[in-house]
Amino acid sequence: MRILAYIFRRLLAAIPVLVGVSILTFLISHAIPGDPARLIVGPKASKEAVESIRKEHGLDKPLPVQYVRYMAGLVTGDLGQSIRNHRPVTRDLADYFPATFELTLASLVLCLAVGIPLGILAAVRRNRLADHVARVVSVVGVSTPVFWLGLMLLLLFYRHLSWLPGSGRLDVTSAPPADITGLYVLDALLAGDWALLREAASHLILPAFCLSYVYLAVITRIVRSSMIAVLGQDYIVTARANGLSAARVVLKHAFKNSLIPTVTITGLSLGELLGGAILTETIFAWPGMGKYVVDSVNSLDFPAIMGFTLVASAAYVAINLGVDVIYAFLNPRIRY
Amino acid sequence: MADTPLLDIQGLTVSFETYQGRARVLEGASLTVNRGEIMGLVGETGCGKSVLSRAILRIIPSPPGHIDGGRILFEGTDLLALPRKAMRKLRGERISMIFQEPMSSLNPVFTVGNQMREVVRAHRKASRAEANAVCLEMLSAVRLPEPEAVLSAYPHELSGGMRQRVMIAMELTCRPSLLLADEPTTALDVTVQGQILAILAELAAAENLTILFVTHDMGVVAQLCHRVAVMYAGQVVEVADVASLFARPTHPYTRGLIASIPGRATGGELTAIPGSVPSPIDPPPGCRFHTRCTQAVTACRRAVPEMIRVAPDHSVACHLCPGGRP
Repeated sequence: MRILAYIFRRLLAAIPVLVGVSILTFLISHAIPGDPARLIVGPKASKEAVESIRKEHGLDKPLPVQYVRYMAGLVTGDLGQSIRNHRPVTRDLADYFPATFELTLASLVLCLAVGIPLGILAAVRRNRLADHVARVVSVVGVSTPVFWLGLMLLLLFYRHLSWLPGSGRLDVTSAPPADITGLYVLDALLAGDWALLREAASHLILPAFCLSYVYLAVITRIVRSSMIAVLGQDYIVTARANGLSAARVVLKHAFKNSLIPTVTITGLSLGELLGGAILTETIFAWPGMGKYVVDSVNSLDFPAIMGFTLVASAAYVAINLGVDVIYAFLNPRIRY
Repeated sequence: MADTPLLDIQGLTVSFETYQGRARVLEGASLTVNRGEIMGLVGETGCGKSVLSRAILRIIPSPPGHIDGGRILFEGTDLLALPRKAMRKLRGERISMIFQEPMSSLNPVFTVGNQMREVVRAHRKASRAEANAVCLEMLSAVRLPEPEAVLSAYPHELSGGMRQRVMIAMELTCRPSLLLADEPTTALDVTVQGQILAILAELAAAENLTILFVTHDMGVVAQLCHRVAVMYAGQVVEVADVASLFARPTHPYTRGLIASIPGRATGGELTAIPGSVPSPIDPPPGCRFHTRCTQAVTACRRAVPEMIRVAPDHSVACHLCPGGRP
């Protein structure tokens, strides 16, 4: 129960954070030189046409008034209307967020499924072959630019080998599965449509791998170093001296202790994955928020930029809260 | 079987790979521990006493550590020749170990019950309830009040003394014949130390438990042990029953150790052994103590002294003692 009260307190504390973020984003996006109205009507349009667009979107009002209007809408769940496509921003985000979320989730699973075992192996067999392999994988991962990696993956697996599709979430001719979670792989699975599941999954592999690689490297290194630190602890000697098997010593006694720094880094990575999918989405023509926000920035679509930033910040806050809650389960010394 | 010693260590040599070179932390250390006795193992920090106790369980981290030679006979079986799996079976069941830091030798993220039951069930088939019963019995045996509460507590919720009792209880759940105690009272304050020693002495008598008690505290040795082995720079230099050792310390190093116990020296001044422990990477030839020994003669620099029996239960490795070479 104490943990529920804690979660509630943290959610309350998130409100001023999000208000702060909204003010900052509002100021910065409006400080960018340029006039969205002019961008809409084109360079040859008359002054009157520009003015009428400005009026239509309330851009002729002073900044504080614009902000208050925006916030008044926000309280009722209205994120405004996109200047670019005249659709409500909430509708756009609902369309694009699931794609990004699916990509991020797949990358995270990949990061953890490969990074944790690789890190443990590297720690247990320190300075032996497994460790060197893990080190090379990590260094390459950290130092490979995402755009280059994405292009190389496309070149190899799409163009030359034709093993995997190169763009989008599904083939152009396929219809998406019934919308349950918005994650195509999961929805296809729930619908029992194996062909579609295969298709959605094969579309997901390259972008997910591309997006995860940097964080995979980071997680591998963190797991390795925290594992090495934990394996030097007295209670590990105790566990060995008690006749427990090596697997039990490593996977039970050492692993749970090494998870705390790993969870911290995973939380940070997840936040970055969500916000950092822009390059990957662009390369693989993945219809997610990253691509949406780039287009919005290019056309100075303030409501869209604001909407994206707020959603991303809320996700950050939620992830950090999740991390803190997991800490309490991992470490009995942490009490909220 | 009755007259073979429980533990017979012969010429144990252990080295560690370091950046400065190979450190020979144990060099031909020999020691015999009889059934049912409490054997003290004393020496300065770095003399190899902890390494010796860990070598018995073969839990020296390797690399960098390596057991280069010698034999460790436990009930007549050479532990160093035992397959890995058989050795693991022995740990915690026939030979147990408690450590210096009760604060850090229990895993902080699991409850006491979780860790204790795990040890029980690692060595025999037992249901959770059966394992629990064994744990509760042992926790009562080390005189912990409210054993049920202790079982569901996390280590950080217990005091240092309680944790050390939990450690003792955990290590005795399988009724081992040998308990290795690596300075188990050093980190505790004096009153708690007294309680722990009393519990160990009581359990040793009640369970016919043999204890190898590693310490640098001569006072603890006098209080608890039946026999003592004195180690210096990786070698056992003198072994005797407690009374003889305090009454007639023979090796110059032992004499120095006993003279340096506060309160024993006359005049109220602390006596210290001059110099410091030699580096295990480049140990002096001959008797390793000759660099600090005030009576050293030529032979001490040349030959390693052998263990000589000077009384029925008193052996010493020194060229100068009666029966020695010079």
